[in-house]
Amino acid sequence: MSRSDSKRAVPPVSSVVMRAAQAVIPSLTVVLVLLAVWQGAVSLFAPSEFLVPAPLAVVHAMIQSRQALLAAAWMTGSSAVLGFLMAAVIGVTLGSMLAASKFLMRGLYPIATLLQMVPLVAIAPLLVVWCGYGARTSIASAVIVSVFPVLAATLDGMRSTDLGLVELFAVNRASRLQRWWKLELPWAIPSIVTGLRIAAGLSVIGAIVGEFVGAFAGDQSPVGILIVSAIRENRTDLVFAAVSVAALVGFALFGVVSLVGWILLRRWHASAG
Amino acid sequence: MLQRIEISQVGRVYDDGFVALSGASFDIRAGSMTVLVGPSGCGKTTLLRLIGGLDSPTSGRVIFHGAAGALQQPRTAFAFQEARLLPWRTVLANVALPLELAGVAPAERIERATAMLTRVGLGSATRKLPGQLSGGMRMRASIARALVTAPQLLLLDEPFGAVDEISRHALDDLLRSLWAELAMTVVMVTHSIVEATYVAEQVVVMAPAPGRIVAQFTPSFAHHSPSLRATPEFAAVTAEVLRSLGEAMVGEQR
Amino acid sequence: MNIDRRKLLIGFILVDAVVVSLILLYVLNRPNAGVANTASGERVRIQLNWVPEPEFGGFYAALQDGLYAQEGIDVEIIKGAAGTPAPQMASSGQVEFAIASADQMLTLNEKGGDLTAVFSVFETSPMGIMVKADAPWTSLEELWKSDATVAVEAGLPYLKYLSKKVPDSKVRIVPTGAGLAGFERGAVQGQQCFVTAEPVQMELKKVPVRVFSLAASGYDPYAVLVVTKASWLAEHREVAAKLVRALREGWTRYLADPAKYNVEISKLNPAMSVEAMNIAAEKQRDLVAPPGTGAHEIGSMSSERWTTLVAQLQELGTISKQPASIDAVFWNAPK
Repeated sequence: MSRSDSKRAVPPVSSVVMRAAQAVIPSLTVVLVLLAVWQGAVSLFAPSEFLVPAPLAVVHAMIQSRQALLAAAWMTGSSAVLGFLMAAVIGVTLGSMLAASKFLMRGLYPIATLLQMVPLVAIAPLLVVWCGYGARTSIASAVIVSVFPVLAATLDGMRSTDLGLVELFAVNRASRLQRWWKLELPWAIPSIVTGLRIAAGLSVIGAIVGEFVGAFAGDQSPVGILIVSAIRENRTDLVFAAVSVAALVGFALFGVVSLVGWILLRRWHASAG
Repeated sequence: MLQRIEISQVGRVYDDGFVALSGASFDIRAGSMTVLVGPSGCGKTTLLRLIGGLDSPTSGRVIFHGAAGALQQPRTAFAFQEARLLPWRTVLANVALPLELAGVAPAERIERATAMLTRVGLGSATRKLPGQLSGGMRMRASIARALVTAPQLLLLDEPFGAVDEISRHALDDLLRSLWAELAMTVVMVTHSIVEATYVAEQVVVMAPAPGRIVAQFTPSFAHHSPSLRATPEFAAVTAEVLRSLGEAMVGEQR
Repeated sequence: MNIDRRKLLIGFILVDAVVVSLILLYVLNRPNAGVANTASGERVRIQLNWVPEPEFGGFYAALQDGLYAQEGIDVEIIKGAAGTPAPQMASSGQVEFAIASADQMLTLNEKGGDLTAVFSVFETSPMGIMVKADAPWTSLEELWKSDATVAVEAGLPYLKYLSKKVPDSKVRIVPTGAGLAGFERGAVQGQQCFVTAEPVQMELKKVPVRVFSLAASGYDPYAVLVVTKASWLAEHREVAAKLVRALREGWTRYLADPAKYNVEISKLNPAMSVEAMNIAAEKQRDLVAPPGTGAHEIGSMSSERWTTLVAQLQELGTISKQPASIDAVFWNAPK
């Protein structure tokens, strides 16, 4: 890539596509190989369908139920994305606060870690009580699983700010706010991006767990309801199909976050190589 | 208007009892170029930071004398051994940072930063990122940033230590020409005796254990040009400085 | 692709094939439910799909009175909980018998489950939707037309049945599973229930309720079935017959005097008090054995009823096609 003084904030489409391709093709190959072996093994050993569905059966279920799956992906994806965005804001804010105050950190960090330990499945019914049935519960659930990685990454990133730069700001009589906005936050961005990547995948899981206990079922049901329903109906092929769709949603969100991270960091940070 | 800086019995002892600096006393005339030179641990950086207000002495005082009495810390700028540029900002934005933090309007700070960058020879590099610059260029940017606020007091802590020798000579000349042009008081720390002799009006020689001043010189050469370093005149002064340092260090040899 | 990468890819595929095959071999190689002889007779395991409750009363009565032993079989009743995959365990040979619902058995059979029902605890389905006693709706259809929030287990066929029956339904379906707290505080206005369970809990909490029976609305499958793998049954009909005979007698005794047996059952499930079990047992009596049922008829199933149910489930799309033969779906042991 040229080192000339390019002022573009957004890289050209061709380089984005190439980069995406570079990232996706190797893993895609691996996935396809795995699927082929799975299909081969199932064809060879012919287990009962309720034990292990063949990949082709799963694909068939995907095609057959594509409308329901697409609607579900949209509903769950929306909850996950909203939860993710809220978690990002909350996580960066709380992380900044904890980084700024040793007192706050000593007081709140252990509690935050403790909350992280409580299994989401146990908290989910409480969420229904607090947020009611519907998307709000799955969004809240997505927020809860996603906040900590972002908080921890922000805290870590900010606390590792180069001391020489901190002194530079002190020498120039920068206010605390100026220091946060112009130094600590940009400095922490590589770390925050890492935290956001983790949060992206988790937010989908969080949304689905929330849906298990609190979503509305109907003509259009989100992924969580589809999964529970398919399990009850012994449609293992559909269960796998729904899970795959959820994974794709998570993967897509992860991809978007990675792309944004790359755009932000590519010019100045080694991690965006 | 700053007239002189009085370093009066300034000492700095750390909490663990380590004596970084003991009883330093000398004067700095306003508008002069002073260089503190000495080996590691002689307290030169400590003294520089005390002059700059980044630290407070445990004994003695740093007094800024004006026409009508003592003054507060004058407008002071630092250049450190590492360039300390924000890696995500362009060179221009980095240089404009002090103005930005002081609330200067964008148009004005771009103008002043660009002017200063041109002055240090980085006029064509304004849009680059620090990662794209060589070490010498980064140091120039760091100096440009220090100067953009038009400081009365410029403090440099081994600014050219990480740069190769040839680039270093060029930077020394740049520093001298900036100093001449901008009429500011400059204090620089270095452990290169050659650099100290070349750059300074006043050389303050320091030695360690405990950190203290052991000698002062005021080299005055007829012409300051790059070829000065090769002259016997220069070598003589350098030898004197080295000797004074050696004498002071004799006691350290086991 | 250069040589190294090609080798890497081939190596990867080979290793992957071996690993996946090993996993599959392990998964598929389940120990078969042979009949092992124990000191008390041929071993039989029944996997429940829920915790011990009056809906399994007859099973425990038979155990307590030694009826299994009398028949020469050594029966172990294994407790279940929410989500226990009981029929799958029978299909994969981990247990000899399991409890399942009729739709579960049929959908599992479409995926190779190979199950046959040998005993149906309920003659009339105990499933219903519970509402508070002062609720405005007088029928299930009325409730379904409203925009009330109803907690239902996702994937149950009766949902589709009711959608068809009440096309202009505005009801909002939410998952069960968060206990009855939502129903109690009114966030949920209708709650799926077994007439023997949730309404009893509410009664004991002094919350008056009414139950709309699904059977009364036209969806009345056999419920709480004892199922077994057809291939196993073919080779162990005598054992199955012994079990069924013991169950018939066990249920007869339980229905006659449930309180006597509930004391022991409550010990297995301390969350439900003996008092609650007694009330539940009363509520379920007529559903298990409607008046006029002979002692030898408890648990028996009819071909007409199964035919109706199968047709209903196919129409709803729960199963894609009817089983080859209705008589393979169930088996009534001789007297």
